[in-house]
Amino acid sequence: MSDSTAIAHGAAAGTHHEHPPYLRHHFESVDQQTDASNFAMWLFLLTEVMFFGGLFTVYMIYRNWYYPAFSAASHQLDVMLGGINTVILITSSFTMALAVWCAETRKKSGLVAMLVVTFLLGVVFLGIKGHEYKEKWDKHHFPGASYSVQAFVNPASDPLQVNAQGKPLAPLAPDMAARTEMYFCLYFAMTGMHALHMLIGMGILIFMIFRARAGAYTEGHSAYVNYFGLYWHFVDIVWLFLFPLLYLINRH
Amino acid sequence: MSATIISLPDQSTARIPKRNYLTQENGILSWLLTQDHKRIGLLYLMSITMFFFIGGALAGLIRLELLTPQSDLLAADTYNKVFTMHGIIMIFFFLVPSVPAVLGNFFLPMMIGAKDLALPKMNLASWYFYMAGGILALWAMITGGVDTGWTFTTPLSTHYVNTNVVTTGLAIFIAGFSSIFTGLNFIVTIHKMRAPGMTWFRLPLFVWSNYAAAVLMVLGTPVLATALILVVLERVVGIGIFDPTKGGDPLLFQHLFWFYSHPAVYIMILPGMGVISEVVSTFSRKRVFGYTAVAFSSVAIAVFGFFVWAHHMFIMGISSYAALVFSLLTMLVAVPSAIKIFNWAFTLYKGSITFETPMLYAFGFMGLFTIGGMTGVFLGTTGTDIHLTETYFVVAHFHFVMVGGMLMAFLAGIHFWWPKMTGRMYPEKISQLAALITYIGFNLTFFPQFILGTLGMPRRYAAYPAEFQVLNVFSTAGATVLGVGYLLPMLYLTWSIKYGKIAGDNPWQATGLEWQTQSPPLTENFAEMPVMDHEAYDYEWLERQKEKEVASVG
Amino acid sequence: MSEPNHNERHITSPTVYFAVYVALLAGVGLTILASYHNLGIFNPILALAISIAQAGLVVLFTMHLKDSSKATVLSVGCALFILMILFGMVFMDYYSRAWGSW
Ligand SMILES: [Cu+2]
Repeated sequence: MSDSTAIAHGAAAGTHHEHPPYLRHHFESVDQQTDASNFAMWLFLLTEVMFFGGLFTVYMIYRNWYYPAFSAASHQLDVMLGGINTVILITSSFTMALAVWCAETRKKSGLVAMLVVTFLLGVVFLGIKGHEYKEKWDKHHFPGASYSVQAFVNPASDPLQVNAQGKPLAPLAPDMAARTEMYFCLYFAMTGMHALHMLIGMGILIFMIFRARAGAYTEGHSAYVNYFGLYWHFVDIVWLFLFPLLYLINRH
Repeated sequence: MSATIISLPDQSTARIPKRNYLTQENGILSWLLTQDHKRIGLLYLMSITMFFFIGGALAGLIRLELLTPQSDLLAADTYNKVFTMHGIIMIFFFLVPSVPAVLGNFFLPMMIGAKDLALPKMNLASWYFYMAGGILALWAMITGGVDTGWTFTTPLSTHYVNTNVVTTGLAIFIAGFSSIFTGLNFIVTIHKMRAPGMTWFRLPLFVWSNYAAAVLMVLGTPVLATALILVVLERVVGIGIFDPTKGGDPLLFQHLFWFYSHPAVYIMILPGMGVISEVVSTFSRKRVFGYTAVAFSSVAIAVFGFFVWAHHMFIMGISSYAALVFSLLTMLVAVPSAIKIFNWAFTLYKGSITFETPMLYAFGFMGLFTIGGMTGVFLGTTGTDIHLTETYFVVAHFHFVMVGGMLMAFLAGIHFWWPKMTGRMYPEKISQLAALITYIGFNLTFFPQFILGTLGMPRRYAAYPAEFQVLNVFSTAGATVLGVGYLLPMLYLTWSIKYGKIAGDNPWQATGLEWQTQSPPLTENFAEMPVMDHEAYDYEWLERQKEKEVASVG
Repeated sequence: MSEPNHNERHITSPTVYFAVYVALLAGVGLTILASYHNLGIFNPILALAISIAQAGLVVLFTMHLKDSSKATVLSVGCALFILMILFGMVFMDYYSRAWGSW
């Protein structure tokens, strides 16, 4: 019952020790406040888990139904770019963790630097992602009226439709080739939803960089950096699942 | 009905306390920007009442149309829009937020001895999300409506209708945030904000059931969001995930939709069950029988609630093996629900029962919910479901649970806590009459629908064979009575805000912490931090408290 | 209760973060490497296993779940359980549809 002792303690001590300015009126102690907010942040992330969970369910159903189409279509993705992006995101997660550490140990310039690096890595990630999207768009692999199955019914015409040994993949029957559109739907929906989360995160990062320069997080109240860190790591985790599921189907 | 436990202060000297949460600040902004959970509760109460009467008016239109076998008052497609909007408004904008967002918001922090919910800003944001979603839904209704039924079933919603599916879908998506925020707030508050001495097994059962509902809100709603987003994407850019011509499976939508929407019925009913626990205990002057069993049955309902969703899809083409599993699991949910009903019955046994309005509604709940729940077992059985599904039997079943159960519980709660919210009593005699009218009207409206359903009258049609007319006339007549039953509280409760008797701190002699402070409460709820030194529903403790007070005054 | 530093939580040192970082990079390398070898059914299983291990590391150490309150740990467990119910029961339907009716 750590929370109730904290309350009793705060109530008793209320008269003789200063309440810091960031303690909200309805909490009895800073401990209770950080505890509650941290828990709330986790719960929010769990709602995100369920949200992506719905998308993953859809993905896995169709991957099983249309495995040949998913396998062929995933060869359109560049493992190199995807891998680089994965490394970038993991690195940004690492710098974000360092930012949390800087805030906790009250290193202001370190904190600002780490937040800026995290932000920049996010920009690079989205840049590469945008480049990949554009490639798909140019090759008519964006789902919709202009979608083209050319690369899958006639793999010899497409340099990307080759296996690890460089031999062209087997062509798909027209009805299975049409199902590659489903793969790209899911590809865009899932990576798009992930990119949206990154965009939101980067918006918050800009705000936090300015606040950090003003010293907001390095004077004892580092909690917000920590909460944001949780969010950023979560976005990272989602990508750790998206990468093998979307890029690495049947590569051998 | 002469015995009563109401104990009011001497009306000639009693005054509403000068300083309370209503008088703390003035002006419209002090309401729109408030972070006080009690004021947000009232904002919710007003908006929910508005949506309830809009949804009710639509229900009235449906019943009027069904007075005659032909589709004469409304054209068939208008009728489709009317029942769809009735469902959407009642479910997403009334039933889901009703008890948690109004009564839970107001009383949950007080019951656990906290000053506020853990995240007051998020609480206010939840009301704005609710309003944004609600207004968007109304706007969709005014600018052409939507006719998919509240279930947005694919491929009807994605390919065959040309109404405001996207706008309505987004409206529900937005309202979903309000639900998630409320649920999240409750969970954090119950875990982290309890007063000293308030252990988990001293929590009032209202708190337990809201906790269970909050878990469902937090874990279920995001999946609904996924489903709706995919429908919107399907309509806007045609991604094909639910489109058979592109290899999609329309049934997958229903899996995702019902994964939320079955637990959603527990989001609706669980908080109502919490109200009933409070009311039954208070008006029979006994601790709730089997407190622990009732508390855990809420959690059990929440957990089982996630295992059974496909019973809405038995005839839709899921595998018969899956149907078998889901059917068996559905039966399981009946167990914790029955535990609650039996425990309330045992609470009544040898209690000193009095029949104030909240108790009348609670009796209504127990009877009607039992019928609604038992008929649910018929529908959960795959064999009978094939005959009964998509008939008026289903309509009657969920209205018994939702209107007979949930709405009765909501009204019980509103009457029970009205003195605490406003500081004044509602007029007892007329409200007892209203409770009676509601009960009669309800049975007259919905019982015939069970018969209609077994006779084979399908739901969701504007016209029906002439031989069903007699029962439909009964049903429409009942709806009129029911309408009166709902208008009355609206009128006399409004009247009582100004003219009701002054209630004092604890008119019911109830034991909850919320009753041990002034009415209406202070903004910070309690003058000093309460310490919980007794079990929940300990009426002997209350007696000792009173003796102490008398002794100290004397 | 040590009064002034009461709200100073346990601070995770950068070494831990770095160790997790290196492990994650190794995991990515391993996933890519494994995907270019024919392991049959184990290709997707191994890829998912590595992802889950990576996620576990991030959740436990980088996100400090290891040092979090019991309520948080329990909630995470509960959500994962419900997620498995979603996956498992939807797949159960799709898998058994192929068996036809009885
Ligand atoms: Cu159900």
